[in-house]
Amino acid sequence: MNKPRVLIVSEDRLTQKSLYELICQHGYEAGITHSVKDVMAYLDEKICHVILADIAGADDIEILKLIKEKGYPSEIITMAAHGNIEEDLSDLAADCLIRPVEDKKIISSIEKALSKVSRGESRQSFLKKLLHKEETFYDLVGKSPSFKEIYSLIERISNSKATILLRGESGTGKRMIARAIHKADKKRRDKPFMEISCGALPREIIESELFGHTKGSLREL
Amino acid sequence: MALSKNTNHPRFKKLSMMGKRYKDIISEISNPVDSTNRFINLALDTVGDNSQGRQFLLESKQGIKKTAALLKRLSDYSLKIEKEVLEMAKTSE
Repeated sequence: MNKPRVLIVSEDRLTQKSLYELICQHGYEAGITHSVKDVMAYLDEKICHVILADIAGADDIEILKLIKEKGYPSEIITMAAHGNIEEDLSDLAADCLIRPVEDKKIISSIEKALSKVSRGESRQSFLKKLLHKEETFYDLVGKSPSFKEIYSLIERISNSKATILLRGESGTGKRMIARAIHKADKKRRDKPFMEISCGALPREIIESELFGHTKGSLREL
Repeated sequence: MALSKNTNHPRFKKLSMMGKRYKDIISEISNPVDSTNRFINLALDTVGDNSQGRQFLLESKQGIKKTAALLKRLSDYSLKIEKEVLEMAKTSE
C-alpha cells in the first residue's frame, strides 16, 4: 500500500487544520472536504483509505451509510460531540470518537482502520486477479499513479529498437517489467523471451554465450 | 426523538428548548476546544524541553483541560434533560 490517505470531513476550519497537521505529522497523506455531502465526489476522484468524519446529525449518517454501500475501499471513523449521536454506528464505522478526543486515540483509530483496509485490499486484489484479468497490464497489477507512469513508459519504449536497461534492487520487479516490455512489443511478442542470468556466466565465455562463437575458438582461451 | 403532540406543558417546552440549546453550545464549543488542544500538542513538539514557551503551552493546556471537563459536565446535564423530556413525552402519550 502507498502512503495511506486520510480524508478529513469537517465544517469547522480549526478542526480541519489541526487534524490535517496531526495526520501529516504521523506520515499519512491528508485530504479535506467541508461536509459529508462532498465525500462521494472526492472518493470518485481519489483513493482514500480512511474517512475521518465529523458528524452533526442523522443526515450525515445516512450519507455515510450510502458511501459504505457503494463499496469504496475506505474505512470510516466518526467524530461527534458528546451525546450528539444516539445511533449505534458499529456496523458503519471502524471507530466512533467523542470530542474532545486525544491525539493518540485518533492515530490509533486510524491505524486500526488501516489494518482493516489492507486486509480488505489484499482480499479484493486476489479476487480481482482471479475475476478481472483485463485489469492487469501484461501481467503487471497496480493502479497507483506510479504504476500508471510505468505502464505508459513501457508502451512508449516497447516498439522501439532501443536497448533498455532496467535497474533496481532485488525483488523490485525488473523481470516482470522486462516480460511486460516483450509482450507489449508487437514485432517481438511472438518470438521467444530469452532470460539470461549474467551473474551465472563465467566472465571468460560471456561474449560467446551471448553472441555465439566459431568452432574451436574456445580452445585458444 | 419521538415527541407526542400533546406535550404542550410549559415545563416540557422549556426543558426541550434548554436541552437543544445546550447541545448546540456543546457542539459549537467542543470544536475549538478540541482543535486548540491539538494545536498545543503540535506546538509542544516544536519547542525545547526547558523553554519558557513550553511552560506557557502547558499552562494553556491546563486551561483547555478545564474547559473540556466543563463541557463534559454540561453534556451530561443536557443528556439528563433529554431523558426527562422523553419521560414526559412518554407519560403524555
